[in-house]
Amino acid sequence: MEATVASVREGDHDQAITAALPSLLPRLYNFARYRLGPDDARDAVGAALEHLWRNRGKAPDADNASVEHWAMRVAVNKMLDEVRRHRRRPSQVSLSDLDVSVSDPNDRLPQLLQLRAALETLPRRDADLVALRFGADLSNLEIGELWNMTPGAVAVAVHRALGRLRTEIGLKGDSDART
Amino acid sequence: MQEPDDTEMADLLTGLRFKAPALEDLWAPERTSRRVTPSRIAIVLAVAAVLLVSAGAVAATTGWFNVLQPNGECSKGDPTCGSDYTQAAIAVNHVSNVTMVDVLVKKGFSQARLGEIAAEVAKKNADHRVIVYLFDDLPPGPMNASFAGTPGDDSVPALAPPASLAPYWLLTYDLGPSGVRETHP
Repeated sequence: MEATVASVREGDHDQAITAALPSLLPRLYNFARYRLGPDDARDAVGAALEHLWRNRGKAPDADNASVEHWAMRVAVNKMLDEVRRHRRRPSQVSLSDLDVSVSDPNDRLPQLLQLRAALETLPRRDADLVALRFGADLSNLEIGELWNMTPGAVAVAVHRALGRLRTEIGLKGDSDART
Repeated sequence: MQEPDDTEMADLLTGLRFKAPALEDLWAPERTSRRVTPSRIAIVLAVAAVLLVSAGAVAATTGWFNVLQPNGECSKGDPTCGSDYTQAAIAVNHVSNVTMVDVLVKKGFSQARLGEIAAEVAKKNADHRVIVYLFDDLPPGPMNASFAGTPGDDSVPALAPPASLAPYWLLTYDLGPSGVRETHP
C-alpha cells in the first residue's frame, strides 16, 4: 500500500479535489436544501459535482487549500444555475432530512420549519444569499468573489435579507426579539 | 458586523442543517431519474481511491464495500443484495501492491461505458495495470468478503475473481501498456 500512497503525487489536482469532496458535499447539499426539496437538491448536488469533475483540469496550480477554494467556487456557481432550473417547480418544504444533532428539534423544530418555509417567500437573490451564507457556509468575502461584490456590500445585503426573513417568520428585532 | 437581531437569525439558520447523502447515493437509481454516466462513476472511483489511501487498504476497502452495498445487507448474507446492480470490480495492480475499488452501478450500465471508465483510470495511472472485472449480477455476501480480503495481497492471482464467481465473470478489460485488450474467460 505504501507504493500506492507514494503514487499519489503531491499537488495532483484530482487528489486535491477528491480530498475536498467530503467537506464540499455537506455544504453544497445544505445550500441546495435551503432552496430546493430533497430530491431536487440531491440532483443539483450531483450535477454540480459532475461539472466540477469535468472541469478539474482548470484547477489552479496551487496548494490543496487553494484548489478546494477553487472547487467550491466552481461547484457553487453550478449550483446557482441548478437551483434556478429546478425552481420552475415548487419546492418541497420539509425537514425530513434535518440533522437533528445540530438542530435540536425538541426546542426549535416548529421554528425551523417556519424558517424553511419563509425562505420560499424571499426574492430569489435574497434566498440565494442566505443559502450561500448559511447553507454553504461561505464567508462574505467568498460570496463577494462569486458575485463581484465587496465583503461590506455582501454584509449589508445579508443584513437586509435577514431582516426580510425575520419579518416573514414574525420575529421582532433588537430588544423585542428574545421574548 | 452582525447586529443583535441578525445574530438571533443567524443562530436559527445555523440550526437549519440537513444531513447530506453519501456521495454514491447521489446517483442511486431509486433516488434519481438521471442516468449513471462515466463522469459520475469517476467521481465515486476517485473518492474511493482517497479512502483507500487515507485509511489503509483492507480497512478502507472493507468499509467501501459496506458503504456501497444497499443498506449494508450483503455482509449479512442477504441473497437479494445487489440484485439490482451490475458490479464492476476495478483492480489496480501496481508492482507488488494491489488496491481494489468496487463500484455498484445501475444494472444495464454498458460494458463499453465501464471500459471508458477503466481507460480513464488507466490514463491516470500510466504505470499501473488496470483490470476491470464485470459481473452481470452479484452473488450474495461471500463474494464481497473474498474481495475485501485481497487488498495488500502481493500475488497477481489474487486479482482473479474467485472460482465460484466464474458464471458472473463476463468480460475483462486488461489495460496494459499495449492498450486495451478484451479477454473472455
